[in-house]
Order: sequence, then structure tokens, then C-alpha cells
Amino acid sequence: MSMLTPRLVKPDAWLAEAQVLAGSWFCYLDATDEIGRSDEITVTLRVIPVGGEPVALATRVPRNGGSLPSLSSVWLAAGWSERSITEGFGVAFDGLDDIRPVHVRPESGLPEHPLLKDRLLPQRQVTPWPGAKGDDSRARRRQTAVGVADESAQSAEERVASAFGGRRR
Amino acid sequence: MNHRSIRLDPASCTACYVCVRECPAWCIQLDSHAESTGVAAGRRDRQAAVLDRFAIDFATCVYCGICIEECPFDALAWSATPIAPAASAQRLVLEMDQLAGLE
Repeated sequence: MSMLTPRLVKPDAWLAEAQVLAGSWFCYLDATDEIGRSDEITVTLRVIPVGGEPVALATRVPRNGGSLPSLSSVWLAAGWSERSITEGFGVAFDGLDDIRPVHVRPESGLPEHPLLKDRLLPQRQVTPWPGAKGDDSRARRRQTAVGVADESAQSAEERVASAFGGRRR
Repeated sequence: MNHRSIRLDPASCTACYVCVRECPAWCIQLDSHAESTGVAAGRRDRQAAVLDRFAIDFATCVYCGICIEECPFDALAWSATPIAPAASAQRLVLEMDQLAGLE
């Protein structure tokens, strides 16, 4: 399977571009947190026109309070993926009535919009890391675990950079 | 090659903690202490790490094999022995002698 680079479109053109593809097979609609590169979320759509080659579209919305028109009028199944993106990333979809969470129960204790990269696993923050034990004073490398943020990190970017930036042992 | 469990060769392990730090599931527990290897005449004392405990929690292990890949001394290897079912998650923690005994 070859890689398909999505064509980036403006959020204003999102619905119109999708309507051109109406009748195609809907593959998926998903999102990526671009923190560290830009303060945005990329929403990607992949469809296969009947008898044609796969097509991928992408658009970028602000990380906080971003919104897009819903594609559920073009593909009914897109509404399910949009519910998932709303829950995971906090992107609002105009025209989507049902925004109940798909994956996580409210009583799970996970932070809101858990797929944003600065939402770290709560259990991992409180569990002692087994690798910290072998820490000796001669080691010049910082001894921290992946997925655990520095307590001094204030902004979302700093939290993500301290939890995932660089390769540490 | 079957990937059913992970065997440890305690004689090869130098307690360097690379596997413990690389494990994405945090399922390896390791304890060690330093011992003097004996002072040769005119030399300073040399210390070597001695393994006290090495345990893999197969309840949380995801069988990714990163510990085996990363081990600089080939002390870890895939084993074809499946982990026996257990009545409690605690019994899925295999200690050093159990890990060494895996075929």
C-alpha cells in the first residue's frame, strides 16, 4: 500500500470539497494534534471514489475552540467519527446533533479530550517508574520516563516536550 | 521462533537498567547492588553491579520485544514456553529463577 499525502484545504471549503466526493466509499475521518509544530489540529478524511483511486483531504483548525461543518450530511457514518474527534480532541462539528462520548466513560477519571498530546495518563504520573531505581549520580543523562511530564512544565507545549521530547534512558 | 515469554540469562545480565528504562509497559523490576571485584596491587577499587532481583510482570507485558532488542549483553531472549494461567495477576510476575528456567 502506498502512502497517500492528504490535500490540505481551508476549513471554509471543507464541506464543499467533501460534497464533490459524495457517493465515494467513506474510509475514515480522524484527527492529529499538531502541538509542537503549530497550535492546530489536523482533521483528515479518506474516501475511495467508486471505481477510482483513494482520495485524502485534510484541514487544520485551532487547537482551542476549533470547529468544522459536519460531513454527516454527505456520509452518515462520518457523524460517528466526528463524535469520536469531538470527544478526543475537542473539535466542534456544526450540524452534528449527537455529541455523546463514544469511547470514555465520564467516571473513568481521564482528563477531558484525552487524545490531545498534553493530556498525559494520570496513572503514569503517580506510578513510580522502575527505571528511576538504577539512577546513579555519575549518569549525566536525565533519568525520566516517557509519558511523564516535568512538574515545572507550565504550558501545554512544555508538558508535551518534557514528556515526549528527545529519547531518554 | 515463538514469542510466548521472555527468558533471562542472569549470568549475562549486568544490571544496566536499559531494558527497565526502555520498557513501554513498565513491567520489568530490577534490583542490584555494587560489589568490589577485588583490588589489584597499585590499582583503585573496582565495583561491579550484582543482580539481586529481576522480575517481569507478564500481566502488563505487551510482548513488544524492545527489552530483548535493547539488551546490550543479550541476557534476554524470546522463549517458546507459554506463561501458565494464574488465579491472580500477582502470580504472573515471574522472578529471576523462573525466567532463567524458561525453555
